[in-house]
Amino acid sequence: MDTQRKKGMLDVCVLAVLNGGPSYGYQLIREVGQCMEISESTLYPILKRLENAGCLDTYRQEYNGRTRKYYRLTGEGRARIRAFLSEWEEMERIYQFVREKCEEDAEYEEE
Amino acid sequence: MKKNEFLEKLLAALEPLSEDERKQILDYCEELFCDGLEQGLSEEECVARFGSPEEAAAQFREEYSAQPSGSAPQRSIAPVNVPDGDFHTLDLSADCVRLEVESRQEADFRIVFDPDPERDVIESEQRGGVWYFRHRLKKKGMRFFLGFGRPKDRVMTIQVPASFAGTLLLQTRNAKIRLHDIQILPKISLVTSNAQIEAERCGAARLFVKTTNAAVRLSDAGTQDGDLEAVSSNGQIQAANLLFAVANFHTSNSAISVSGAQGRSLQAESSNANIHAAGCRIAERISLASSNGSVSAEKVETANLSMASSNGRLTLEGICAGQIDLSTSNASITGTVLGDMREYATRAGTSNGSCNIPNMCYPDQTKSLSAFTSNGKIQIDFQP
Repeated sequence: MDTQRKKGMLDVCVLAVLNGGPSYGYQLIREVGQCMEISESTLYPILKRLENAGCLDTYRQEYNGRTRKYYRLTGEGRARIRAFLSEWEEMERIYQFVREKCEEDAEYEEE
Repeated sequence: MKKNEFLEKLLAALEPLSEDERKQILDYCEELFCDGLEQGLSEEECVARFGSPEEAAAQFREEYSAQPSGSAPQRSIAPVNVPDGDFHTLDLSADCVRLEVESRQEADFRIVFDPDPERDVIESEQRGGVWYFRHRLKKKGMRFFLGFGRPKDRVMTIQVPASFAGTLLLQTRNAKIRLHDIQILPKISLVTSNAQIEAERCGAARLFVKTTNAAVRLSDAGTQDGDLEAVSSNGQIQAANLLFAVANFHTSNSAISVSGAQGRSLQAESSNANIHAAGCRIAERISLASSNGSVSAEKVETANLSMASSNGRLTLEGICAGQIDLSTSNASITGTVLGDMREYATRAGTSNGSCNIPNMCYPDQTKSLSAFTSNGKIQIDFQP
């Protein structure tokens, strides 16, 4: 997949996981990792980007005598998810269109 | 590779980033190491998950190579909790943190600030339609000063939605407040100490700014029926292009300068410093009072002009006013008034000095001019 597109996908996957409730770094990597490849270092810029865009906010909470940084979805984050989902309905249509046009042609399928 | 070696190499590769940013990355890594160890991974395994320190640094820095054009890179910022539900007032107080207040298109407030868990305590709650946002510094006694030396200039950015139509009560200490391009609101109050307040292109039915030992600068501010008050002590007040119903400026030991003001009533009071008003159109009354400072008015138009000082000279230039009251001592009163002296009931006197204004009063005169001083001359010329 194209790297730029991948970045956008990872962003919205992180937001989608947060839709289920606030989460923290380690947990986010496990959950998003169920769908897409993501590492400790790739997660960091994603979180920064989303925070700068106002899609999530952060808070700290005590856990086992240390503080953990938690991430939480905001109204704008929810709006970003909605935008992604509605975009994909259109993508789906276009995909079907391309697919149908090309199913007739055996040559394309082989390539 | 062990954790410490990894972190050392990582921080080295993160050299170009700010201290704050590197600390954030460090905190992030430490947290993930702790979680990994808790889950049963070994130290080496935790480190391996990051990739090599150089690769990891490249990833961490990636965010800074892709800056949107036209915006300055904003390091170390984080939007802070906005309460759910509607509120009509933001009551914010901060401690030694500079406040930048600006407008944003989106519907929610956004407070951007990077709290340091070692130093900052933030409390935010909504009660009775008021969002209380409190920032304070933890008191750490001597360690605070030894550890941090001269406090860096930290900023809290408050982004006000264009759709907000409520009250902003913003306060900080020992740090500047700057507010600009905000829509007209019912009330804006900006309070700080030992630092400047700048407010431009904003207005409120009630606009109140107060500081100590520092200047207040207002420009393109105010609203037609609004109340405007600026208070400083030992700090100048500079106001340009204001619109108001009633405006009050108070300072001591520093100058007040008002230009391009339009309103119903303007009062400026200082001590030990000059007051200067220029290009103002004030329907009802202008009152400028100083002690030990000169008072000057240039091209002002009003119904009632009062200029008072002691030990400071009064100068007028191109004044257009029906009632003019000038009073000082040990100084001169000079200048020009637009109009015909015959329309004015005049009274003037000085103990020691020439005076070109006679004491003349006729019943049909609707205007009046009085000028009194001692040990100074009075020279006022009328120009048609």
